[in-house]
Formats: sequence, C-alpha cells, structure tokens
Amino acid sequence: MLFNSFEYLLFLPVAWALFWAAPVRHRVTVLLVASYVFYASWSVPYAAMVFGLVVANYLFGLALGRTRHKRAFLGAFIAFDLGVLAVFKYVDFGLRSMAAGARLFGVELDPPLLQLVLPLGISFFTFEFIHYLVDIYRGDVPVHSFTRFHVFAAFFPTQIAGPIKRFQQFVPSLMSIGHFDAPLARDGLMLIGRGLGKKVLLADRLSPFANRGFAAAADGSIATADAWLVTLAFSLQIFFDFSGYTDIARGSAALFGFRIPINFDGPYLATSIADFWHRWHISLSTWLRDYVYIPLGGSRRARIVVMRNLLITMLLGGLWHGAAWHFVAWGGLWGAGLALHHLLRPYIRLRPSRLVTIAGWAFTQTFVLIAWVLFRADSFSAAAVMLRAMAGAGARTSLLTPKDMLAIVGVAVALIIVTLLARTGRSLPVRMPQGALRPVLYGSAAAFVLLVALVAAPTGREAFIYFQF
Amino acid sequence: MPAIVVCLAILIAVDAGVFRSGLFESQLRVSSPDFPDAKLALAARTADARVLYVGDSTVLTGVVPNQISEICGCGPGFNGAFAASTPWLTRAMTEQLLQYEHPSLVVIGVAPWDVDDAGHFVDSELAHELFSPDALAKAGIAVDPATWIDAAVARVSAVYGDRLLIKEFLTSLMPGARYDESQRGYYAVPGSATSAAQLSAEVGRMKAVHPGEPSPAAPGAAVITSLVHELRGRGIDVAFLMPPVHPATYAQNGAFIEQGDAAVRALAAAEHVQVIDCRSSVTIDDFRDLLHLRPSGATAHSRCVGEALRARTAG
Repeated sequence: MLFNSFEYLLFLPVAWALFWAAPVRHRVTVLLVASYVFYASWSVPYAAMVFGLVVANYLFGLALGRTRHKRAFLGAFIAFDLGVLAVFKYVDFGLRSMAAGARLFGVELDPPLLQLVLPLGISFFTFEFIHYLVDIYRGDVPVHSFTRFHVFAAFFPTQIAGPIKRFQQFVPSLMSIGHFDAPLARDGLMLIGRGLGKKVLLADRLSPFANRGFAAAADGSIATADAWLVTLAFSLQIFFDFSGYTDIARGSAALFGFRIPINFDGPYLATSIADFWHRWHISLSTWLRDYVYIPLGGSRRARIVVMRNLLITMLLGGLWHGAAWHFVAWGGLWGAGLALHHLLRPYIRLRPSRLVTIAGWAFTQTFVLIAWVLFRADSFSAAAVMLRAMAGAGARTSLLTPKDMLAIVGVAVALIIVTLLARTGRSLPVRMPQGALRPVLYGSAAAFVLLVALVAAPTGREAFIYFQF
Repeated sequence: MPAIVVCLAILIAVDAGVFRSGLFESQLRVSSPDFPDAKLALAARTADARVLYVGDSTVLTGVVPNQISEICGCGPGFNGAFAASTPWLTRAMTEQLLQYEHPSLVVIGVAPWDVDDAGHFVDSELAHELFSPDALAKAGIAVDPATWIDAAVARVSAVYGDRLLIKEFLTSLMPGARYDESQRGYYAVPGSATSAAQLSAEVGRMKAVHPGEPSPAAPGAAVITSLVHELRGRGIDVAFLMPPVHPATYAQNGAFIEQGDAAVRALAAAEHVQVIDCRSSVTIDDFRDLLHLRPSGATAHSRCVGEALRARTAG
C-alpha cells in the first residue's frame, strides 16, 4: 500500500476513526491491527515474518536486560537480525559478486541464487531492532510490555521507509494517546498535504528528466550540459520524493498522536560535506553515527583511525541502501570525502564570511551531485559515461530542450529560496478563526488534502524511491 | 460534524462543477500529447479532422498533419498516434478517437515490429488507459482486484479518474512546457540521440523486444486486418504508412526490417490497402534517434505523405 495510493487514502481515515473511537485501553491494539493490515496488504507471509521478528527481538531485549553475558548475547542477537537481512538482501549479491570475481580469473561459477523478494522496510526495522538491543546493552531498560514494543516495531507510518525511530522517544509517547491533540492532528494533515504535493507536483514531474538522462548514459553517451542537469533533476527528485514520503509518514503518525522526528533539514543548503549529513536522512546518519561510527572509536582517536572509521561507516551506509556495488561506491565516495574533510579541516582555517560560505556551499553541492551519479546510475559503465560527460567529455547530442533546462534550474532555485525563507523563521500572520468559521476552515483543509491525495494517487510506476531499500 | 459536511460539500462541488461539467476538459492544457488520455482530450477539441493518423511513436513524431493538409487537398488532419503503441492499442485508440473525429481516411502506421510473429497483447499502463477491466479480462489479461477497484473509484470520483490529466495539466504550467495544440497531435521528441553507442543500444533493445520474425500471419497483422475491416464497415477509407528508420537499423538489423517490409506489403496487398512509403524522403541527418525524426525530417516526410495522399485523391 503506497502512501500516495487510493488504498491508503481509504485506509488512513478508517484506521484513524477506529483508533480514536476505541476505548483508550484498546487503542494500541487498533494501531497494531492497522499496522498488520497495512503490511499484509502487500504480503501476508512477510507480515507473519515481521511478527516473528518482533517476538524474537522482544525476547532478545528481555534476555539482554537480565544476562551477565551481555556482550556475547548482543553479538548473537545482532548476528540473527543481520542474518535475516542478509538472507533477503545480500546473499544473492554476494554470490553474484563471487561469480564475477571468479570470472576475472577465468573460472566460471554458476552459484544457485535464492532470488527472494525483499520484504518492504526490512532495512529500516532491522536498524530499529539493532538500536533497541544495543541501547539495552548500553544500560537502557528493556520495554517489558510486548504490546508497546510491538507497536514501536510495527508502527505502519514509519515501517516501510522510516524515519528510523528510537524507542526511548517513541514508547513514552504511547502514554499520550489518551487524548486527541487537535493542533498536532492539524499539523499532521498539513504534513500529509505537503508530502503529497512534493511527491506529485515535483518528484514525479522531475523523474522523466532523470530517467531519460541516465538511460542515455546507460546507452553510452550524453552531452555535458545534459549530464549536469539530469543529475540536478535527480537530486531534486530524490529530495522531494523522500522528504515527501517522510512528511506523509510524520503526518500520519501525528494523526494518531505521535511525534516523529524530522529526517531532512535543508540538505541542499549544506556548506560542507560533513554538514550535508547533518541535514540529509538524519535518522539514518545519526543511527550510523551511534551504532557504527562511535563503536568503531568515533572521532577521539588518531586522525588516521578516524578517517578509517568514517570510510567504514559510509561504506556500510552505502551497502545499506542496496545490494549493488554502485551503492557501495557511493558510500565509499562519501566516506573518502568525509575522511578528507577531517584530514584537511585543521589546516584550512578561513575567516567566516559570506564568500567563504558561498564557496563552501558550491563545493559541497557539486560533490553531492557527483555522488548522486553513483547512486542513480544502474551500472558503473553508465556512471562512468555520466561522470566523463560532467568532466567535459560529453556527446554532441542533446536530450534537453531550453525549456527542460529552465524547468530543472527553476525548481532548484525555487527550492533554495523557499528553504532560505523558511529558515528565517518568518510565518504568515494567520490566526485560527473562532465560531462558525472554524469548521469551515477544518473542512476546507480536509477537502484540500483529500483532493491532493486523489490527484497524487499513482497511475503507474510512481512508487517512492526509498521503498526499494 | 459540520467540518465533515463542509469537506464533503467541497469535494462534491469540485467533482461536479469542475470535472463532470466539462469545465476542466475545456480548459485542459497538456505538456506532451504522447499518451492516450492526452490525445483523446486533444481530439475532443479537434473534431474537424478528415484524415486521422494512428500508430506508434514513429507516426507521432513523423507525421505533421498541417504539412500534409497544405499539400494533399484532403482536409485537416489529426495525429492520434502515441508512443509505445501496438496494433492492439492502436485499434482501441482508433475506436475511441472515432467518438470525436469523423474522418474519411485513416492512415495506419504499420511497422515491421507490428507484424512480428512473436507479438501478443501485453498488459501495460497504456492498456489500462484504453481498456476497461472488462475488456482487459476479455482479452485474456488476468485483471487484479486493484484494477477493478481503481475503475470503480474513478466512476465515483472524477478527480481520481482524471488524475493523469490533472498531473499533465500541472506539468504544462511549468515555464515553456505547454504543448502547442495547433500542431494537431504531432509531437517532436526533444533533443537528439544519434551517437553510435546510443543507436547500437537501441538496435539491441529492438532485437530483444521483438525476437520473432515478421509475417503477414502474425497476431498483430490479424489485429490490423480487423481494424481495416471495421473502418471500412463504417465507410472510412484506409491506408498504411511505413515508418522511416535510421540507416543504422538496416546495418545492424537489416534482415528484420526487410522481412517486415515484405510482410506489411503482403498484408496490404491481401486487404487492397494503399501503402505510403516515404522513407526515401528523409536523410540520415533528419533522425533524432533510431526511429524518430527531427522536426526537419518530419516536415520532409509529411510533405511526401501529402503528395501521396494528393495523388490518391486525384486518382
């Protein structure tokens, strides 16, 4: 069930109405049932598997809270969770890579592949399980109520593509489902409307440019200007797609009284490579920081060790996105960039000024665009064609017309302006009307969201990009 | 409760006042006419066409109705072709276009790949635009429940039913993105893709997508024949148009093209349909890519088609 599908448009109000109509003690149960209906609408067997993983991790948490052999238990439990993820996501990738490697030495291997369908959201809820287990290992108290842990793990708004939640924030908020928080629900509706708007008005409109350009690169050639512009189109598409998805997830959660943290904070305003990861997919970058980078030693080690840690963390972050070498290369490029940033930072001390900020922004965003090529291209050869073209060795053919170019650059400029304006903190002086006008306003807002949702419903392959991870 | 009433009232007012009243249809603008819904919306406003051109993207990008009309003396035309059409989709599209247009002649683009003996009706997004779930089921497609629900909801909510066109309308609002309707359905695919690597990759795809051998007895040929009979039954004359293809195709997949030409000509002979072959009117520089013409090529090609139609009228 896609967030921009008609099924979800029906499902969400029904789940919402049943949730708030139910007695307080049954609301969590309603939420659980809704979550499994949501997941089972895609696959019943995989919904059963999710249930099994929830039970297992609940028991792991309790065991970890009691045992003296925490380290050994934690290792075994994480190995179990990662093992499940590996079976579905990485085994075939490993076998294929092995066969490709053997071929380089003239050995032909034809390993049997599992060819399993990847369970939706498995990368996200596996990371939530690992966070839960590691934090108990570090001293947090496990969640003793199975129902509460169950809702944390199976919560439908965030189950498929995050944001990756922390149980310390989520579980206590279950205490607040006793009363309906009207302002939060109103914010939730606005977030859903905004998310659908980002998806349908922007992301889906930009995808043809990116698809056309990367298909041309896969075919072997693309012009220099086209290469830059279609990569820019993709960078905008993935931002609007994923942040739109996140808005809908956060908005849906808010309707049920839950506050889910933000996942994006103006990433295309970042003025350094490190700054970008404080603003992009924040729930993933903080997870990688807390559960990979810091356990490796973090930044309180020798410079070379820190650089190694950054590289390993980002390589794993790349691999998390997909079982393909171009994702690993994408992570590796970011790791190398962050390592270099760490290495050079003490030697490059510039007095803060507008010019320095703009130069930092331009460099960072150029790096971001180059990295997106590795992320989006289906193969290294396509990425190489695109990067060569970006370096000036492009074809003489031209895919984009001046109006295409204007549209892409126009959206980019508009995004920068809107983000900058939003960060000034100014808001429109709108007061909520009282009396008879109030239901008119609420009714109009609901009608607007419904109309946007009806228009946003997919007509073809318009799934959210991050659903595949 | 009052808020719910307001919400429902707005939804009903928008549905009835904007979409069912014809207001949206009359104000609709599109950015590209290369999918069936957009083409049908344009056809509703171009009901004076005397010649209808149908087929796939080779017709869409190679036939300029205004150029042809200047020469042929056969009246205004409308290009009802769309990208990735197949004989099955072309037949369905032609039937729907005839609800708006009243032509005396339909020119059907028939390419070698249309008469590939491995061709068959394939379920696709385009098929869902042109066929009801009932029709898809009759054609042997396993229709999933979501498709039935989708059709039912589209009947209830015109906003939902028209969402593809609404998105298209929104796209047309981007700077310079609006399609010029005076082109009467003709569409120039932007840009160019004629590097050796791109042409070679496209030929590779052509071979993969059309693995069979062209034959006048192919399933696609039978569908075209049925369309010819249906049109003649309505008193409409028919001609076939052979699409120009880039010389690289002949170099790399020449046997398929030559066999296809023979199959199309055999089919035309069996049905006594005139074949319009204007492939020699374009040069290598007129191609935008393997199968599609640049505007200059489309103009040259259309002038030749116009001459052929004038000769036909005179004859």
